[in-house]
Amino acid sequence: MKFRDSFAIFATAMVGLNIELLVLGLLYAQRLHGLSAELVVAGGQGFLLVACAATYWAGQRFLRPIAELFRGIERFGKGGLDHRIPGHGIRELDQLATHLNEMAANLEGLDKLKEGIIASVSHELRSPLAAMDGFLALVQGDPGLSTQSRENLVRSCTNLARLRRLVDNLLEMSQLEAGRLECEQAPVDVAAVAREVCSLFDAQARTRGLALELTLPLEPPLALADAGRVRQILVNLVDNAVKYNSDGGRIDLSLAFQRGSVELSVADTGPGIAAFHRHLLFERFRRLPSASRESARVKGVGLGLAISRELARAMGGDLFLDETARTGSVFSLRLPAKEK
Amino acid sequence: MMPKILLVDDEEDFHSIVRQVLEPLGYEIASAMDGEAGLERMRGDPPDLVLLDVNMPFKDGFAVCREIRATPQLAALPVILLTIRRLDHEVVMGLDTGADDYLTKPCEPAVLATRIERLLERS
Repeated sequence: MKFRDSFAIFATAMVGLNIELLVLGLLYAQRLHGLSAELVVAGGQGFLLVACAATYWAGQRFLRPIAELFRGIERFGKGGLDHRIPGHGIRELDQLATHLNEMAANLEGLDKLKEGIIASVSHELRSPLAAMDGFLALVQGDPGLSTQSRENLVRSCTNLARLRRLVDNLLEMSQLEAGRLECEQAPVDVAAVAREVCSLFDAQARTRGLALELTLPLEPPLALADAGRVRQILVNLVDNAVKYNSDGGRIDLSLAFQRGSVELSVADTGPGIAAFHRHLLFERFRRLPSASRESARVKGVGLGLAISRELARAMGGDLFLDETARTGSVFSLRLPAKEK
Repeated sequence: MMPKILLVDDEEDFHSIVRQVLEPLGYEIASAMDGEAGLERMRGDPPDLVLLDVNMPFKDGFAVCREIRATPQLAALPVILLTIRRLDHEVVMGLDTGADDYLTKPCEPAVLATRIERLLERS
């Protein structure tokens, strides 16, 4: 029971008890009989009811501002910094509310400043990067290049692509934090997206000797999501499954319909993720300590899974590691299913 | 006889760049992609100088350098540490592990070449 209600009831009970005792005392002291006694009792009961109601109301009035303060702090803590705690006329509590509101406003301002910086820097970086991409592509078209120069050019382009992806990731992450990333909610044929992503990684898997297999149910369910974002998440998952897998291993994708959700799992036969590292898995800018020398060579900055999970949640779903897998890793993407 | 330089670095791109800078100057370049592989190469086929990247996963440049100085047959090898970041305390730490020099990447080809020349002259 809420503190407010229990306090109000307690106060009422105390008042009521006192009034009862008063009435009983009166009756006893005056030794009233008959009609007088009944009148006193009736009056007492009436007075009792009014007093109880008044006490209850007073309790609520006093305690509602406190409840609002608690609620406000809770919302700030969850990131709802645009909330403002209302005043209720009790001076000290209103002052407290004002200070808390100011603090929230400051934090909100800092947040916006940070997002602004990340966004504008990312945009500034994008222009020269795009220009470089354009010029490098033009140079690649030069037939008079020596073999070594051509190789140098290809390596430059690869590094440039890496840099651009990093900048895009940073920008995306900051937009996700600001809640400004727009996700459509439309019927998505997850099976079709999965098939498309598989064909994307076919060649790469084959060169590593990895078996890439997709298992679909007879009637593939539709999800309510953003097709482009689902594709983006799947690419991230399959890419990881390829990068962190041992040559000659397997990558198995499966699609299931479970209690109103569509679940897509990506399982690999890589080194897996140690239990004591799992809580770091989806954190931004975190790369887990490498389980093997091969995985130590994989390059990355640690944003992929963090972004993928934020996207999944923005679509009303989730992305998580299947804890029951004993070897390798199984990542599951859950999306709300489209009602039939 | 061409002096042999072993480059130990996890970035393939850097191997390509070093090769293109140093081979025309008459050096033979050997490559190792991580600390452990580098140490194996050194024991099996000792080079005349080692270029050692600091920021490597698993076994970083500092650890490799310490091991070089602790191994009798390798202790006298000239070692140049390479790093992307350069913080003063890291430089001290690096030189403390026994390296002969400490350079930041990207480094001017002329600077790299000269430092290598001087080190090889001395040994």
